Amino acid sequence: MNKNVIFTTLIGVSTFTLAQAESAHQHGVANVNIAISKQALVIELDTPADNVLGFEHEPRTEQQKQHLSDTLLLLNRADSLFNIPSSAECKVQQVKIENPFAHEEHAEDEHDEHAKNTHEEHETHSDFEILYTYDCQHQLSNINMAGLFKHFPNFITLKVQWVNENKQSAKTVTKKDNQVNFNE
Amino acid sequence: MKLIKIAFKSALNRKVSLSLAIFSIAISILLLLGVDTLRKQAKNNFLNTISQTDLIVGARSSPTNLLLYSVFHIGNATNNVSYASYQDIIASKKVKWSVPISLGDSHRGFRVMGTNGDYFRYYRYANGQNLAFQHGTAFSGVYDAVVGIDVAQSLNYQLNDEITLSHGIVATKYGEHADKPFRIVGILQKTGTPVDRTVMISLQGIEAIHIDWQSGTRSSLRISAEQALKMGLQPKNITAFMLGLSNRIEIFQLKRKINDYAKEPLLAIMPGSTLAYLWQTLGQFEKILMAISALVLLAGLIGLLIALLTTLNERRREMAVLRAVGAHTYHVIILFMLEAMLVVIVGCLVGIALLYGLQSIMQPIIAQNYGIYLHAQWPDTMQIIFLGLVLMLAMLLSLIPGVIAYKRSLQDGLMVKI
Repeated sequence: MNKNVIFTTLIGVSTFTLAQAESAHQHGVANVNIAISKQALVIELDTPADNVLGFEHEPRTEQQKQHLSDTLLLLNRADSLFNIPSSAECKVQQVKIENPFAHEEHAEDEHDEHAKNTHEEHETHSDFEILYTYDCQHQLSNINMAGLFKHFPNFITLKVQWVNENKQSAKTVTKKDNQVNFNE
Repeated sequence: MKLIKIAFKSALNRKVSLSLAIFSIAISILLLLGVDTLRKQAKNNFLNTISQTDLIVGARSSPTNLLLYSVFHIGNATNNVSYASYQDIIASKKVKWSVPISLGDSHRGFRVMGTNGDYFRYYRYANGQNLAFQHGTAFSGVYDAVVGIDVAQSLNYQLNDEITLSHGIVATKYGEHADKPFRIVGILQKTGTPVDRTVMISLQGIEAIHIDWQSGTRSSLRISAEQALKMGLQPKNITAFMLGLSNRIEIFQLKRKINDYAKEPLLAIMPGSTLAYLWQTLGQFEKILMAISALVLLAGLIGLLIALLTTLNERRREMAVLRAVGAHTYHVIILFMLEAMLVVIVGCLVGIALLYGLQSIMQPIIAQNYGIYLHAQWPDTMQIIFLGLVLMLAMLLSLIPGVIAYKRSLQDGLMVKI
């Protein structure tokens, strides 16, 4: 009897858990994708601008422009956002920021089209996409994201999906539960 | 030793109320262990069914839905993927291997899956195990079929047997593809996954049986099996496909590319993370179920307490006589404890027996409907610790009637009542 209950529940749940991973623009929530393969580690952070910036419109005042460039600097400092065990000896290779307001500062050629797209919709919503690429000497067991919550208090949950050579999984990371373990 | 004998004989005198107490303990143990076992085994089953597949791609719907119908054969696809899109995507350099899946037909209650030879090469389950053949080989001809071990066993199939497939998931007479029989060329070894309950044929085979079908019904134009072979059985649609990548680091790029695919609304999911999300949500339900079971157990124990307390009056004489013939006060308390232990131990044993009985009855039904395999196994350490706790709790509870009885035994029982 109780078994049936569980399975009905299971099927029921499946129809409303739904678009968890690909959830669109939602303030407080960001997607973090982590891929590990051999020596390479890639972390993608895809977040509504509000989470890191506090506003989503074109920076208008000098103060807002200053805030934007401060934020960009902070987002560039991978080490202060993601805490990776020193035993893995990971070194940041590259940080690539797709800034929705980039056409003001600089527009990379390859992102022209994207920038145009976001430009059209930025009066309502804007997103940052940041790509961190690392090179690691040893196997990586975990990544701690307390830094992200510390520097950007607007973050409430991070939807983390990860894949390494053996496994893929997902975790909802919060301020309290802020570590992703790859050996669980 | 003597005390156990006395306790047992005394209990025999009150067998009706005590056996009811045993029964209620047994039911609550069944519920608790059942929920726990089911939870653990369902999770293991899900986690072991797919391994080393980087992405699963299907028509755009919810990730959970796509995962459930493509891998676990639970529920149905909302839409198909065109074969052209499939070929376009797997042409990418990022893709190392791919396996197409075409669902929608059945054979006597078992799902039929159209695929190609790569399925047997690349599909992995448990910790990266390959599919292996118990008899025969993979299909090579259009009308060849490979069956899972459960299909072969429950329908008693041997190599070279002929089978006919039915249109749709529920077998109906009118939807029988009787004019195009398939020959079993391979039987797979047991995997403990939904594969065991699947009939696998080639995509061309799926195409052939539907060649004279239009909009879900058979057209008046009949095309024989031989004619169909000559008609270039290029599939137009598939249900979903699995992908393996050359370099896992590119998984999110490829996933995004597929999700933004312009020609057709597609959804690419990572099976592992989709399962993890599914389990996160189910975790809440697990907790609620466990809490309910714990409360039921508590009710069972209170039932035991009531059974012990209500007999106190009947047992005044018994206790008094025991004290009179030289029983210590603690003997009285121990008698009650022994009785409670007897009830709980027998209750646990009956509960476990019921659990196994129910599991073996439900196993085929659950496997058929939900693709989840339950294995009868001994209670694990956690469960044994848990049963021990139940026993301790029962002993503590039995102190209440024990102490009351001991307090009353002297003054009470031997007094002559008017």
